[in-house]
Amino acid sequence: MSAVLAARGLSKAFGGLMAVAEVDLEVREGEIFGLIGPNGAGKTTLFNMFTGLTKPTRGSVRFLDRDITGKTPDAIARMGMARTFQNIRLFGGMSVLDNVRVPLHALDRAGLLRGVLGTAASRRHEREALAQARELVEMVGLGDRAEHSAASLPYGLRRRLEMARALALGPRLLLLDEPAAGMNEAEKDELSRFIRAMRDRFALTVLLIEHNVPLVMGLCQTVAVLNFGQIIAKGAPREIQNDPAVIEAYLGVAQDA
Amino acid sequence: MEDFLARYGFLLVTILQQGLLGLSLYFPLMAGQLSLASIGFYALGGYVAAIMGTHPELEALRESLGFFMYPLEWLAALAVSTALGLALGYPALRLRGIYLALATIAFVQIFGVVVLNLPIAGGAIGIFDIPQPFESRLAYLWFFGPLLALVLLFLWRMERTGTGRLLRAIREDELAARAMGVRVTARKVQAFVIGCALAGVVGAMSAPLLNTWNARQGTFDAAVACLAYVLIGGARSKWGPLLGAALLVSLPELLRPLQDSRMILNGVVLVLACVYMPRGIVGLFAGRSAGRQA
Amino acid sequence: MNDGLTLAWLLQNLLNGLSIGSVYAVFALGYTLVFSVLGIINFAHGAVFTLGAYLTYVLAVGEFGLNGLLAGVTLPFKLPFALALLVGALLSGLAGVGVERLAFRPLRKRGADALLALVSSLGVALILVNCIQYLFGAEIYSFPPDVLGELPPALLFHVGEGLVAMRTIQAVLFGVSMLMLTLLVWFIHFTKHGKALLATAENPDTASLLGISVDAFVLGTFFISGLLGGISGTLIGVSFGLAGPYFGVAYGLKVLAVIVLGGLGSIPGAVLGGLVIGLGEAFLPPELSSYKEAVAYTLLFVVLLVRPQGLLGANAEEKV
Repeated sequence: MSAVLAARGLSKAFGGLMAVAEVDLEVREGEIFGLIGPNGAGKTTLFNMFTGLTKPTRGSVRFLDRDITGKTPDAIARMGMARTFQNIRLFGGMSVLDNVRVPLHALDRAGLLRGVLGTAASRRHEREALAQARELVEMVGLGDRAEHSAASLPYGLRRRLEMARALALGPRLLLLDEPAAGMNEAEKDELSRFIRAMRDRFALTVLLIEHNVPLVMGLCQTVAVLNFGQIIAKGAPREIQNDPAVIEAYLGVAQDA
Repeated sequence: MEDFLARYGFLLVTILQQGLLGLSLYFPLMAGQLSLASIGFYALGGYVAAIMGTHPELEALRESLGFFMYPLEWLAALAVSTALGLALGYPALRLRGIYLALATIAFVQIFGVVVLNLPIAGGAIGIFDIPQPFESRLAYLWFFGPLLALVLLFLWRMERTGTGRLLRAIREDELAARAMGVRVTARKVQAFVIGCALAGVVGAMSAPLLNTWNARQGTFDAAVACLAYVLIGGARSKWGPLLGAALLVSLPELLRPLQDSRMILNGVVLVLACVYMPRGIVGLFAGRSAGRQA
Repeated sequence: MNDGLTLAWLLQNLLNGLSIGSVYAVFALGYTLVFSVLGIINFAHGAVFTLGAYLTYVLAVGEFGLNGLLAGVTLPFKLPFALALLVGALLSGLAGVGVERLAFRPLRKRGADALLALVSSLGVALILVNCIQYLFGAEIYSFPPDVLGELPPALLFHVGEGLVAMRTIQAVLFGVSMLMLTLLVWFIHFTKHGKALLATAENPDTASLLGISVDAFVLGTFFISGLLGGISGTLIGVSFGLAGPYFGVAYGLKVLAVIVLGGLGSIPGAVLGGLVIGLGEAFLPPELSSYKEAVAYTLLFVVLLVRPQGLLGANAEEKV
């Protein structure tokens, strides 16, 4: 199994503060990898460095065996890395369907002029993009709300839309930032099933940040624990659970939700 | 009918012309970029046409082309505006929001000063006695009308295809758009340059209409007026700039009896519109359905 | 060029640059205060600048011009300049409050887009400027040369081989500006409102967290901003004359370049920006003098290309 994503010595300093320090990480193809840790441990910053939103202060990131350190976020996305956001960032004023079409259009090479003139190639792209988007929207159960504005969706459905949109990128690696936030037990189970199903159906690799430890333990093959910007433990869920450093990190912090 | 046309012909032409200027602002706005550079490119286009129309060295060309000199002027203005727009766009559009707006204001101001100092542009007096293609001003509908129709058609097509959605996505959330693989900067520059090019062509068409052309064509006031058309008409619809222009151009005319208070009233309209019609005139009508449907 | 680079030349240009630059700084601070608190650019600031100049003129000179509604009217009194400046400044502060009420408050209540607030303030600027035109007419007003009292027009200093001339008005500009800046610094660091202002500039929610009435707080900020605008307008008006009701617009735009250059929302940045641009204009070689108005904008461009957040601005990375 090859590494889809590999980070070496990755660090990020904000002024005097080391948000992420010397992180080494490898995500193998086809696995579901969980990143956990207390609030403020640097998980989202790490994500941002993977996706190119933040420039690392030191270290490197390799994706599909290519060095992507310093590349722009949109280039990395087109290479096959998609993500969702902790705060759910949808294109609110656009419809559910349009939200999902955006990555498809972004991947298309045809230009503005050809689109406006309505060449055969651009018309075909429009048709295909529409079909693909519909399929994804149906798959996440939003088929009956396809034309509704994204902003009008209730919270639970927004997450699904964000995921459908990310999947539209046809990614090899899917990054999920706190996908279970605000969910009850039943919804969390549903989410786990969904992630596994997507992973199988689209031959994905998944990397997720999650607060909810039981969810991660049940879902992920490999787990890494981040605290104060450093990886303090890495391995199979069983190993992590019994690691004293991990227990201390979690007990040392106020009760997490 | 004759009388009506004579009196309101110029008004109608002005509405179309100003509507087009508003549309030149609308393009970058589709990507969420506030650019006030249009007015500078309008002035630029006008100068190109004015110089081509009056410069002694081009006399022979004008003679041989006759009426077709005008389309040539438009093409020249288009080319110059596109080139300068690209040169300005690439660095400027890496800036966000208010920084971009200020950079474009800065460009217009610099352009104004430079033009005042260029002999070919006639300095402070500008260029005058620009040859007219038509007898009446109403006939300029033949210039602005087709251009407007073309632009609206272009926008209509654009909205229904990928590019339109990409620009909307950028406007909604630039960061998320990037994360979804959208080449944000390239798209913003694209929208910006189209706007500049359009403004340039409008300028080229307007030079003969106004007969003289000087640096006063590119003032901050005019830039503000454009912005007002778009906002009052509705910044989210291609009809917005035209409706806004129709209202704000005809208002001072209708209020002629109020001669001196006209500008004050313009200001009042601006403020009231911002407060009570934040989505513009178009928004007033689209209001109901804007909630659930996208 | 060698005989140009004397100490006298340097000092003269420094003097010119700093005196006008300090006025730009005061003007710029008016923008910055509002930007720190509301996060928007108040385009009506240039109009208040203009208003301040006209008000002080009327109070100090006591008579109106030949055009406009108030043509030929003479006031029954004439105030000494310092007093006129003070009253003019206070009235400008009130005008600033008026602008807030008209342009910004209704939009704040609706949580409207910053862009709308911008255009709304433009509308108010239009109204203000045209009211001024309606009342005063569009002619040029000049302060009489003896408005500052019985002072020499300039002081001459011999420096090395050359002569440095300090116009009295330059001393006044510099002096009043420095006074305003000092007062402002004292205010920000030593009064409750001022400290709250500083805190709010860091984090917009601070005002309500501190239990200060947000409305009163915003009002106070606009009052001070208007005051600063009115004073700087008067100072420029005394220096260069009031070239019509729109004379504030050009300065208003130029000083926008100042605050972006210095860094939006940064108070020291506004001061630095003002001085930099003042010096830039002063040190412009005489053969390029017709490009003077482009100096501020060119500097702005250069800075934006190299350091988009301005000289002293914070590099704000968007939170994801």
